[in-house]
Amino acid sequence: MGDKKNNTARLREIKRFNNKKYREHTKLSRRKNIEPSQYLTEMKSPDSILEIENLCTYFYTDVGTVKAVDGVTFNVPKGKTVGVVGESGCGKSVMSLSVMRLLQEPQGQIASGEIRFRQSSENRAVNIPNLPLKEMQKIRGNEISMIFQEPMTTLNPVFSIGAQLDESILLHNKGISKKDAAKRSIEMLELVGIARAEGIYKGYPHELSGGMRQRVVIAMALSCNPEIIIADEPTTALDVTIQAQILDLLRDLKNKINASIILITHDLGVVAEMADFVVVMYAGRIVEQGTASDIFHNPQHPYTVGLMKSRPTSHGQQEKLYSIPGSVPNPTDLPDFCYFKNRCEFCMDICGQKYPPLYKLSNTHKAACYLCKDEKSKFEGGVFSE
Amino acid sequence: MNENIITVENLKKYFPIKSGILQKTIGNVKAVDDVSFSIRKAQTFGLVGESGCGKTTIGRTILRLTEPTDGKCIIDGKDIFALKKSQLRPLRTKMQIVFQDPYSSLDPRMPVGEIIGEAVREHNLVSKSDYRDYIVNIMQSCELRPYHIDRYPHEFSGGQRQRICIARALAVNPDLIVLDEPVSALDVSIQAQIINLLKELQAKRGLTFLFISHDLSVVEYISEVVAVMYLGSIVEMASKKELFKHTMHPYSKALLSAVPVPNPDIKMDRVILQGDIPSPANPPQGCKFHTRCPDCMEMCKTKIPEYKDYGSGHYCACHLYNK
Repeated sequence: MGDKKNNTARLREIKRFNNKKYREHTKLSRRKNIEPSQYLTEMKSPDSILEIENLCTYFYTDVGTVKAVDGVTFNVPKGKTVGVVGESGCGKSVMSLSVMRLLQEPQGQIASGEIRFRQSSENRAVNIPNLPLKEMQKIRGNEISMIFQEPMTTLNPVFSIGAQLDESILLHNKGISKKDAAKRSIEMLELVGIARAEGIYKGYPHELSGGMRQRVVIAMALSCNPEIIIADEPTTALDVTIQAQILDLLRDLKNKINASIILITHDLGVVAEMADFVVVMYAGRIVEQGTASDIFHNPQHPYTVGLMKSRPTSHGQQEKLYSIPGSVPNPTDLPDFCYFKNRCEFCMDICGQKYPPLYKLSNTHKAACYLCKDEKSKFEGGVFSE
Repeated sequence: MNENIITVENLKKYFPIKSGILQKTIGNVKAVDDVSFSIRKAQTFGLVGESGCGKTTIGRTILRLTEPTDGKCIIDGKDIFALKKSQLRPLRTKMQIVFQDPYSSLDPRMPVGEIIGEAVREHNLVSKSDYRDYIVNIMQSCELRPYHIDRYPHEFSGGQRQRICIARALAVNPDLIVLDEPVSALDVSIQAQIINLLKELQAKRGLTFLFISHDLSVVEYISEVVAVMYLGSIVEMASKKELFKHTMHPYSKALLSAVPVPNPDIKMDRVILQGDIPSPANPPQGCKFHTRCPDCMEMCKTKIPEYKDYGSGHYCACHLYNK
């Protein structure tokens, strides 16, 4: 009985805490006349277009606070592709939703951190979490656009493809006529390789296959010439042959319009093909980041190594697949020490102490593991030379 | 050891398209169109193809979960398509299936022990006194803990649920298990755990697998014989080594080259297929693949290529090798 009582008290405590957080958030979001000085900021690096610094996104749920993203820092350089890899539940999608300010509020909130974005149309840099809604709407879909995972559910089944494409063009280009918008939509459909674009323009989503729908979604994302495209698992729902088509298209388009891409995926193969920089996430934190060749040829964090080894490869025959034992820790109750400790085969005494900081291995390469403390490579030559 | 555990001959499964007030049949979706293959004991037969090519339908039809339109499926010397429902019942313990989505294939209202043991009790495989021990034993062989027996599916993660599904299939001591995309819904690190478990169980119990998947790297890892399907027919079938080394059919080549390689330095010359898979309700004339084939010739558009053996059990249906 005592246990039950304690539990009820604990749940009530959580509820009270959450309500406080919700109220604070509502108050903040209802502010009026926000001074520009509150959201204007300076970029730290001249080449980057988006800088995420110490981003923390928390969900205040009935069973406790879920730290979905907890202190993530990385830059997106202009015209480059950054791949974010991790298993389901590691916070990669929440990270991208935070950038778009599409979190389910007030349960999900950006608790702290900065997302600096270079808004070249206004020639300024803004801090996205502090932006008023009106300003955010100018950026969302226009300067930063998003491709979602499921082309089957992203499109609205009751509107024609054309109407959905026109919508964002009409919204973001003041004074454009409907005719011009339609012309631009058809151009976009042609750009993403849809034959008989005019027929598709009048059609409805259910008439298209998965691959074609994903092309329409990409056309929609590109229609306002965005500076950043966030692609959240753009090919997961597609077949391999269609995936190859879509990846080829994305690569091609990136060069054409010179946009940056944040590619979120769990498929290491896709990342290797597309990304210039790679960020590996685990349980809401970055465990390793670097250039694609850093990560694939010289992975340092045991989790990254495990991920790569657990993929069956076509080269060479392994007798038994490597598998990471155990599973991801419970997100409401994360320990103070390294989250990977209980699954790690290189676990040392020090791992039971504080969460390891990101150790710098080279100018581009960082890993959050005590193994990298003394700069000696533990996995020399990477996994593929074995 | 060379006996075939299952032989499928000219299997056809058509789904009628009905229309109008009278629901008259106006056509057929040829989900599986004239497929023959056989699987040897303790072997893994991999079936690869894009979504909608009929691979799942094959898996379900040979277990008679859907009724076939035509053909034969011989298990244990009996044509199971000709059997009555009552005659089929005892045979059900010989063949089991593991479904793709472990979230929807477990009854949320049943505890795990009940899920695994339902069929065991139905077929009276063990005595009442041994029942619980038997279930615990099966669970342990799938790396589940004995105290999981009274829990409900929602308390488990995706990987564990898939283990429950495998345990359910194993519980009746089957010879053949149809694995319908068992790892597609799982994360990479969990995928590896499940694949290892399957391999281990196969070695221990001499199981035969029909492994259905769209992921070529997984199929290459686990199978001994691989068949590639396109629009309801097998276009190429060979032993794994042969198929991946000397790929013959242009579709298999395209499939192979479409798999992304986790190495940023390898820039592959990709064969990127144009267009989408045609509708199986109205497949193209001649070779079904000719609309997307990079090596399409005149005769491909009119004549259906013969599916034949090109030596050492390497079957292929393509005009390129038939000049």
